[in-house]
Amino acid sequence: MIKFSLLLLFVATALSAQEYDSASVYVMFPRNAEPYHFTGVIGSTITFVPRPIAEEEIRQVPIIDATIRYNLPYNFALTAHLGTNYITNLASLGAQWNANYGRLAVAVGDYSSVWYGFASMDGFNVDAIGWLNTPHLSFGIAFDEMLITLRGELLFVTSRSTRAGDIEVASDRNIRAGGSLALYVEQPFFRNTHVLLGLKLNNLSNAYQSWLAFSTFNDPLLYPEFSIGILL
Amino acid sequence: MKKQYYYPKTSEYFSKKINRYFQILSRILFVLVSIIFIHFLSSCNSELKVIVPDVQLLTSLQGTSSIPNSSRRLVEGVYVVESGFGEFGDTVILKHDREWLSIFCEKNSSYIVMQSGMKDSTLYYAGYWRYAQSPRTGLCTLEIKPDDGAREILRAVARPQRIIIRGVFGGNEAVLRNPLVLRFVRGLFIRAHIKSDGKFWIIAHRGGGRNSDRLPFSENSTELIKFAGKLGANGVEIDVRLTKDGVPILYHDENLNTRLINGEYMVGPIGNYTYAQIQELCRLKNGERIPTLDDVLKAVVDSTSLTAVWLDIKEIAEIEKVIPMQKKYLERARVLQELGKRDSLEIFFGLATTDIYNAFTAHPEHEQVPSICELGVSQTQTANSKVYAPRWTLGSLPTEVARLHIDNRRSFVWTLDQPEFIVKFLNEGDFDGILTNYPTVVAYHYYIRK
Repeated sequence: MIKFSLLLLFVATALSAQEYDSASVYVMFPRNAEPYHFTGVIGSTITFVPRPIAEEEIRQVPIIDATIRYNLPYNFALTAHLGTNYITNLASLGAQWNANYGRLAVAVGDYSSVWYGFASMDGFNVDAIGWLNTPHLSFGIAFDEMLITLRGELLFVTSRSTRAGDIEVASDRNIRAGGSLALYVEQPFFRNTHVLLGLKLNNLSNAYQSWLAFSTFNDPLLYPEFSIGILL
Repeated sequence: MKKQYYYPKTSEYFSKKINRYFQILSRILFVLVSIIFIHFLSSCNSELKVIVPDVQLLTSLQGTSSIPNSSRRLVEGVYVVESGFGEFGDTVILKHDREWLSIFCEKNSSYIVMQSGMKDSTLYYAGYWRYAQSPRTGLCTLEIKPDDGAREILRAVARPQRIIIRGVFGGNEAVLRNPLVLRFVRGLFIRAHIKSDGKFWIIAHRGGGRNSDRLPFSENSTELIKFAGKLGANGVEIDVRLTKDGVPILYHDENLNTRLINGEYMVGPIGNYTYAQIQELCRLKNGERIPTLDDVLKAVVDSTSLTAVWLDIKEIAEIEKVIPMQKKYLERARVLQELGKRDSLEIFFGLATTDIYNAFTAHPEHEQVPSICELGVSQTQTANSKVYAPRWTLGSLPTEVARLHIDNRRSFVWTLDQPEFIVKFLNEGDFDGILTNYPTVVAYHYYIRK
């Protein structure tokens, strides 16, 4: 129900978009931009951990996150992302190459992430750390007031280690953990502000978002993810 | 006078038109993409479907009769895999649970569950293989021909020197092509431990495993508990809750939810519903009824070879309801044991929280009620619990376990699922049992030992 309410908000906001020239205000849209120029977004992301894994033990807490894009010459751009909900923390650095033709744009890129989680459960401490690599391909279409980006990602777990106290509970290396398909909308929202709305469907077998569940199941499961943010 | 018409400049006119259409198109496109996402979201839901191959496709057991128990035991043992090791590894464990033969493997944490039968001095087995931690599965048939050891096995005098099991496995189709050949190496490991009569308890969590493990039956169902022995367990841990009208039932979560039941029309704490309402409106994930504790204990005593039941008690109010039931079925099991119809059975009252521990120790008969205490060694002794059950993250606790053994008590560690930790605790610890979601994995690593 929450998922569909968020989706409804996503659609409604997009449909009520205002007329505005959004040519230079975007982070996800795969279009070239003025070199040496920053754009950013600050907002929140919630991932729904599949119930068979989360059971009644894990409460889904949104992550507060920020993404910065720094545009470079020759159609390149660097991206940096930080996210935290205190228990789970993620930092990413990446690069992408953009190309556009009229209203259409495409980008190919890759980012590497490190995540760290820690918690105290029933009197013992657990923590986990993982490194991820995510190549991605984006397609964008620009409307006057709205920039839509469809992005596909592959997720590789470079390494992952979960510890309970001094004991390493689980460790993985070099796993193809699955992929995701994401839809992002960047558009004017209120007065001169712009908003980013994202819906990402992750199909993952080794998702950092569910590290606290200590899942032993190897098959991919669906982790829907909603993002909302204000573009800077 | 000639009428004047206004014609807009053609390029401007079309530009505005195109722009307008583009605006409309943008919204239509966005709604369409959203619909595609909604469809993807609903079709790719996270429900874990149970996948059990169609064993009816296998015909090898047609016309067979039951293999005598004395012969079944001779088939049990450690076997090397002469063909099929790509899927199942180099060595496997064969163990019977009544008329079912299970094969536990190290590679891929795979296992095979098969029904058995005999005809014309040949032993036949048919069933399915499965990876414990993924839904990869398929059919399998095996047989032991008279010259490969079946003749001596059926004579049941002594285990033959040579047992070769031959068969095929594959996917979910009638024609299986991959050869599987096993050769007997030695008998199963038996624990030399005076305090436990050589027994080691492999206790299946939630009656056999969690719903996320995609077993053929739902967690905490009577059907799964009856199946637990085929997964290598000789004990089960089950979760007990009370209905609104005070009926002890098996259900893990506090709330009714789609992880455990079908349908979303019943919500909130399960304790808000009467037993009649639950029976009328609720079915477990694979369609089974939510069982009462009474039904389950009866099934354990009468229809399984399980030797331990660990009752995970969730509320203090359960004490008055559960203890009489525990007594009743312990007595029933004792009678059947004396008649030679089953092995001994222990039913343990679980003391997992301080509240339950305090309420239990305030009960006048608590010292006579078999219990498992998770809180500590001293609490175990105070409650006169037969078993101390520490969380595995506390380590192998050699001093505490030795102290308990001297005190004629046992120790079960919970919940061990990772093969490397199962091996570590079996080799380095002296626990009397392991609670696990993967009894097949524990069974392999326990029985393979020398």
